[in-house]
This record gives sequence, structure tokens and C-alpha cells, in this order.
Amino acid sequence: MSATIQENSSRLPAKAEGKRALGDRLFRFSSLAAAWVVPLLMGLMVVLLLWQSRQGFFRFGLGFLSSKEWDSNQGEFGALTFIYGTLVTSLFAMLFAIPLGVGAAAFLAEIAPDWFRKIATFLVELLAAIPSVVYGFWGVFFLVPFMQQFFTWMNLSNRSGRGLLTSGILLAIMVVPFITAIAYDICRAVPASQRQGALALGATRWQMIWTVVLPYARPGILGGCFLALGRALGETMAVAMLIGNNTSFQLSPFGLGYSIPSLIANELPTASTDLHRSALVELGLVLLGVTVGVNSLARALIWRVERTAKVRPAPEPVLPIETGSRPALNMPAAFTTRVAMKGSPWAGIINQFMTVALFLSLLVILIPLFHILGYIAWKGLGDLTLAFFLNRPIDTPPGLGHSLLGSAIMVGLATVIAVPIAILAALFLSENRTSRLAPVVRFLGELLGGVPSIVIGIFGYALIVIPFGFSAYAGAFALGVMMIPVVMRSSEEALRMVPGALRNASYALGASHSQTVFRVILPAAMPAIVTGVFLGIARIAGETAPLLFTAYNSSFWPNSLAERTPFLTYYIYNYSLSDSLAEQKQAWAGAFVLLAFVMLLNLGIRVLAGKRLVQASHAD
Amino acid sequence: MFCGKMIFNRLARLFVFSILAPLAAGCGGSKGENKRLVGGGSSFIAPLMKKWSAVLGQTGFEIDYTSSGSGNGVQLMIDRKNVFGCTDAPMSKDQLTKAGGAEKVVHIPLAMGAVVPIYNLEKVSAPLNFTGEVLAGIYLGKVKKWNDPVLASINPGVSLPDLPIEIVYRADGSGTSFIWTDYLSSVSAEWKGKAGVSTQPKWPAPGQGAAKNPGVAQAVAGTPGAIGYVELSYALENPSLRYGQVQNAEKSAFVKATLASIVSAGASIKGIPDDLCFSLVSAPGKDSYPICGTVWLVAFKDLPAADAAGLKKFLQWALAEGQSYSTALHYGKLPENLASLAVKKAAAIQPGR
Repeated sequence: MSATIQENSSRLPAKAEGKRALGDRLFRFSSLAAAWVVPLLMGLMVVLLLWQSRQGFFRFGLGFLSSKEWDSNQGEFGALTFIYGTLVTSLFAMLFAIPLGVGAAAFLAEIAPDWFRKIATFLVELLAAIPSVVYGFWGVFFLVPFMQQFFTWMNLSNRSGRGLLTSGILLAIMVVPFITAIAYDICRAVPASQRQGALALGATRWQMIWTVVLPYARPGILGGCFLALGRALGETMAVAMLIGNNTSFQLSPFGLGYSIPSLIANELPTASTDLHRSALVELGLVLLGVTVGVNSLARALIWRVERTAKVRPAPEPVLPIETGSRPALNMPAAFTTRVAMKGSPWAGIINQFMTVALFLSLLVILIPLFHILGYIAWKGLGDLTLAFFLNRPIDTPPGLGHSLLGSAIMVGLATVIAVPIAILAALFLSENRTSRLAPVVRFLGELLGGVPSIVIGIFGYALIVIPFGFSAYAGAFALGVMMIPVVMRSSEEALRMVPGALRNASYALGASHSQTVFRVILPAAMPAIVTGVFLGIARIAGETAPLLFTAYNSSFWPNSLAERTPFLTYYIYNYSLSDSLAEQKQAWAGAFVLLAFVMLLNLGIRVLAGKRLVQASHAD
Repeated sequence: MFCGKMIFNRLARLFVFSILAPLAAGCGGSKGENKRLVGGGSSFIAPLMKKWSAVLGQTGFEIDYTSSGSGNGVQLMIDRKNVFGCTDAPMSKDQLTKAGGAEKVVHIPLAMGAVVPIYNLEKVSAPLNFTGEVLAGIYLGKVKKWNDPVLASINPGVSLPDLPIEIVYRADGSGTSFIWTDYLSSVSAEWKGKAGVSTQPKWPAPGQGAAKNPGVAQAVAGTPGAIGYVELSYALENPSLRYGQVQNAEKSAFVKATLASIVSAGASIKGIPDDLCFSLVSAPGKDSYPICGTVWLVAFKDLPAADAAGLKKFLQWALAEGQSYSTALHYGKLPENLASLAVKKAAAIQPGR
């Protein structure tokens, strides 16, 4: 390829040639620099966290992980209660989310008619896009009273309706869309020949799903589950609102507990001794380690299934072949199923039963969605006044206009900073596939996308707030760090889709490397890249935890980027805890505005690319 | 180590500045006359601060107060990220050391308030009576049920349900917790030994932790059989919450938290110390509500010129005219003698950085 460039450029006048060479050099340098941003951020984050937690390390050593004592007055800090709480809630979440998520995916991929599939996948994606503080808000008002009834009925000692189980259920609702979306993609990737073979041998549809499709897709589905687990482990605000925040260790999974992220969110802003602070940052480091481990495992599994799907022939399905069933070549699935049903009445009944069960699991996933959307629209629309958009909390009537502006500024600034970096890095990845840096950047990008938002908040605090103070810059930095991996990944996918013929045509017309990239390849990939940007915006618009540590909040209109800045999710979180009816109303209205914004973005994504949202957001 | 930290901060500053400098240049910050005065902390005083902020906001003087908990308010003041912090607990020894010594900072009382025990018992309509020993017993995990004899004996004629007591406390570092544990320590030796006085105590009994005053109120309102503690105005704001009366320090009567009983507690303090840090719990006097506390504004004596001028202007107003807004929000006005001492103290704030 470089030979082509040389040949072409040798025919041009010297001046133009110099300009082109400069352009190429600039492009090569800037894309290389952008590619280094991700490893740099990741490294800086680990170094800063280690530095900030050094006191705790030296003081407690490994005993930190096994001690239950947490007493800031005596300077005794042990992480066991919080590690336990984090693990148990996440395991509960997986326990509910995996069967439901995989079941719903199997229904969508194998049973549902086409029109239904389109609508349902869209709805599942919406569920993935609801901001976590909205889930927490909904959990406080609906899940907690419901669980209270359940606990009372079970005659448990915990009557609060909060605790490990409640948080686990909410987490399940939050992560199930990710499992469904990934499992759906992977089920669809199972070769049709596998299905036809099973059906030809007389299997019912359920038998085909259970013995052929799911085993074939197992590693990929497992990878998706680990990704969901990583997300559940790092969830902050929703869990802080529901877990009960109880610092004394309780073994009972029905009791109150505490998770690492919610402890950090509650105590880090008020910690008054250095040791207390460093112990909290050390917990953040533990959380980072666990999520990075889980994410790496997930990547390895997905990578393996992707590779084997290309190389290895399909595994031999082992089928229980009923007597009396006939091989049916090239017959429609429905017909074959009928044949098999005739052959074995039990298989038919099980098949019907499981079809209903799979449909129900989809329904169970979608019910909270309709409930959340419907209830927030109903409550929020009623409380949406003009004053809400134009006033501040200290005005009469009060409003949240200042925080809408603050959020918009920070999300906008984060987008302006993160998108060019992410696209340049993606260009580096797609243009330098043989570079040894590329796989490292790609892998670290995936890991960065899985870092819990609260850890990114600590990172932003240590890097920017400690030397400079709270500001919109600091907030935008934290949001930008979260956005880069999402945009980088989806942009790289988009760039890879651009046909090689376009590139060759461009070179053939005498264009330089940078001209080809910026005039041909980038425009061709632009719709899909914009989709990725929208996805990134949707991801950061609902964030609360990192902004608590970086933007801090303010009661006034933002008047400088260097000052502390209000943001909408702060008010949704705080006002949803409030007992003042006026403030609760504003929380509903705020939740509605946020939800409407995220949904509009999602619709935009649909219209722009017609591409599936969660599929592209694997970097999350 | 301190030196290492400084070098590190400088390096971090350099690194970030190289990225953000061009952006910062693009949009100049407003460094005008009317600089915003940034502060934060105590959620105890947040309703009053919000009112003050609204009144002063009309005149273009912006007091940017964020209710983030007393611990956070003091911490950010020490880090010089807030011009002032508000706290319901005087700064601890550790905090004073970090600030460079007690003589570097001022404590200025702004208001007095009451912390009340709130509870969620559907069928009990009369306000319950509590003694210090009983409240300590509940929070120590020794009194486990609402129909416990110790509760029944001080609430004659009330049919208490056979319901477990669900404890709710503050999850964040809080001045309200400080007042509450200060009170419990003043009445119970066992509490003093096991938990002590702290903005973030290690709670001896398991319970629900909730964020800030509103969070505690909400958790209690949502949990049958729950007990918690909040600043009076948060209890009054929520009609579904009930709060109890507490036995006075001389054990002669059960006192309801009202403006009168807060003012009575405030008036009873004798011999105000030089640093204006005093405790209001278990104040003497038949009508004094025993769980009262003071909210202090804490700030460095040396401040950048604009901040010093703004803060002094604010304090002058808050200690005089501002006090007239206290009553409507159920805060006790500062007694005359204390207010004049506070004004004198505020004069120590000087431009110096």
C-alpha cells in the first residue's frame, strides 16, 4: 500500500507533496497520541489509587480484606462486610438475571416472529438505557414496599424491605437487558445448519434450543453474563438507596448490608482522617481489581467463541432421538415440530410448556420497563412546569433549570473532548491492525469501559479536584473518561465495515493516506460513528457518582467552567430521598426529563443507523 | 511524606494544566466584584441556609451552600475548597491539627436547633415519651421491641405494639449524629464506653444507614417499627412522621421539642468559652429540651481578600437580620449575648492570602 502512495506522490509537484507528507505525519502522530490516551488513563488511574491508598496498605496489609471491623474513630478498617455485600447482591442479581435473560433471548432469537422481535429488542435496549438513579428512585417507591410485604409474610426479622436481596433484585432488573442482548446476538450467530440438523432428526423446537443452540452459544453467553456481573459489582447509586447501608456484618442474605460503591459514595465525601480516606480508596482499588478480573474473563470467553466460530467445525450435537420420529429434509420448522410432537407426546407438551416459559421470561423483563416508563411519565409530566426549566431551587416557584444547564455543559464538554480522542484512537486501531500497540489499546479500552463509575469519580477527584478544586472541567473529565471506550469501540467497528474498495479507489486517484482517511473512510463510517457518540452521551447523561466527586453541585446558574457546577442527577438523587412533597415532585419531573432525553437519543440511534444499541455497547 | 505529596500535587497540576489550559483560556472565569461565596456542610442548617441564600440572592449576593454533611463541610474548608463550612460538631482535634492549629480558624454559631427521635408506629397517635437511658438502650440494641417494659413504664396508657424496633442512623459523617451521640453519652455511661461521641460513630447495633437528614426521615417513614433521629424541621415537614418527647436533664418532666424549649436550653448555657464551642445537650432547666445543638460556621481567619469581605458581609447579615428567619423554620435564635460574641469573633476574619 505504501508503495502505491510513493508511486503516486512522485508524480506530484514538490510543494503539494510536502504538504501531503506533513498531513500524513500529522495524522499518524495524532492518531498514535490518541491511541496512547487509553493506556495512559488506565495507568494513571491505578497509580493514583495506589498512591492515595498507601496508608491503608502499610497499616493493614492483607488483613484489610478479611477484617469485619470498620470504625473510623478507632482507625480500624476492614473490608469484609462490604466485599460480602457487593458479592452477595451481585450473585443474587445473576441468579435472577441469567435464566430470565437467556430465556428471553432464546425466545426472541428462535421463536418470536420477525415483527415482534424488532419491537421487543428495541424495548430491551431501552431498559438498558435507563439511568441508574432512576432505577434507584423507582426501587425506593415500589420495590421496597413490595419487599416489605414479602419479608413480613416470610416472617423475617428484617422489616425494612431494604437489604441485600432487594438490591440484588433491582440489580437483576438493571443488568438483564445486557445478558438478553448479548445472548440474543450469539444465538443468532449459531449456524442455521445446526438448527436444521436438529429439526431434521425430529427434535422439537425446545429440544433444538436446549440441546443445540444453547450449548453452541454457551461460551459467548457466559461472557455476556460476566460483563453483566461486572456492571452489577460496580453499581453505586441504586444500591446505596436500597441496600440499607449497615456497617455491622450480617451473614443473612435477607438482612441489611453494605456494598463497596455505596460505602465510598456515603463516606468518602465526609471522611475526616487520612487513614479513613485511604481505606476508602483502597476499597475502590479492590473493586477495580475485581471488575477488571471479571471483565478480562468475559473478554477471553467471548474472544474464544468468536475465534472458534470461524475456525472449528460445528460440534456434534448429541440428540436423544425418539423412536418413531422421521428424518425430515428441508421441511419447514413448524411442520417438523408437528411431526416430532406426534412421535412423542411428552416432548410436545414440554415444548409447549417451555415456549410459554420463555415468553414469560421476556414478559417479566419488560414489565418493570413499562412500569418505570409509565409511572415516571405519569408523575413527571404532571409536575413539569415552565418554572422547572427556568428557575433555581431558591427561586419561587422553585425549579432545576440551573442543573439542566450544568449537566448540558458538562456532557457537552465531555463529548467535545472525548469524541475526537476516541475517533482518532479508533482510526489508529483500524489503520494499524498489525501494530503491537493495537491489541493492548483495544483490551485496555474494554477494561476502562468496565471500570465502575465511582472509581472514575475518585480518579477525577485525585487528579483534578485535589490540585484545582471542583469544576465543570473536572466533571467533564470524569464523564469523558467514561465516554472514550464506548465511542472508541463503536467507531472502530464502524471503520472496519468500510469496504476496502473505497480505500483503493482513493489511493488510485492519488490521495494521500490522511486524505483517504479524512475524506473517504471517515465520511463513509460517519453514520455508525455518530450512533456510537449518541450511545456514549446516553451512557454519561445519567451518571451521578463520578460527578459527586468532581462537579460537587451548586445552587446557582453556572457562570464559569472553573467553578463548581450543578447537575440534574444530583437533584434527582437528593430530592427522591426528600420528604418534602415539592422536592419529590421536582425529582419526578427531573427523572422524566432525563428519561425523555435518553429515549430520544435512542430513537435517534435507531433512525440513524438502524443498528442495535446494546450490541455496539459491549464496551460498557 | 508531606513534601512528597506536594511534589505530587505539583506534577498533577502541571500535567492537567497542559491539557486544560487552552480550554480555560477560551472561556474566562468571572472574577468580578460579586464573587460567589462557596460553602457547604451540615444538612441540619440547610433549610435555613436555603432561605438565607434566597433572600440574599435577590440582592445579587450569592451564597452557594450545598448540604453535604458536616464532615464534608469541615473537610472542604480545611482543603480550602470551601470558603466556609457549616457543622453541628465543633472541629475535632485531628481537624484542627490539619487546619494548622485552633488559632487559625473561627467557630461562629449561626443557629440552634433540636434533634428529635422520630418513629413509625401506625397505631400510636399520642407522642411517645423517651428517656435518655431508653434511647441509649435502643441504639445499643438492648431494647429490641416497642412493647418493652422500659418503654411501657414511661408511656402509661399507650398500647405499644409487639413490633421489633428497626434502628435507622446516618450513613455519612454527620453533625446530627454528633449531637445525638453527645446526648446519649451524657446520659449513658455504657454508650460513652461502647460508642462515644462522633460524627461517624461505630454503631453498636445493626440498623439501616441513610444519607443525610432527608434520607433518615424517608427510611423511618417507609419502615414500620423504625426509629431514627433528625433535625426538628425535617420531622415537622413530613406529616407522616411522629416525634417523641424526651425527659429533661433534671428528670422532672418530658419535654417536647419546640422553639420555646430550644430557646430555654440556649439561655441556660453559662460561661461561654472563648472559642465559642460549647455543648447544648442535657441543658439544665425544667423546660429545656435536652437534645439541642448549635450549628457553627467554620472558616480560616486568613482568606483571599474577596472571600474575606464576602464572608464578613454575610456573617454581619446572618447574625443580625438573618436571625429573624430562624423562628419560622423552627431554629432557635441565638441569645443576645452569644450573638454579640459571634459578631466580635467574625471580626477576626481578615484578608491574608
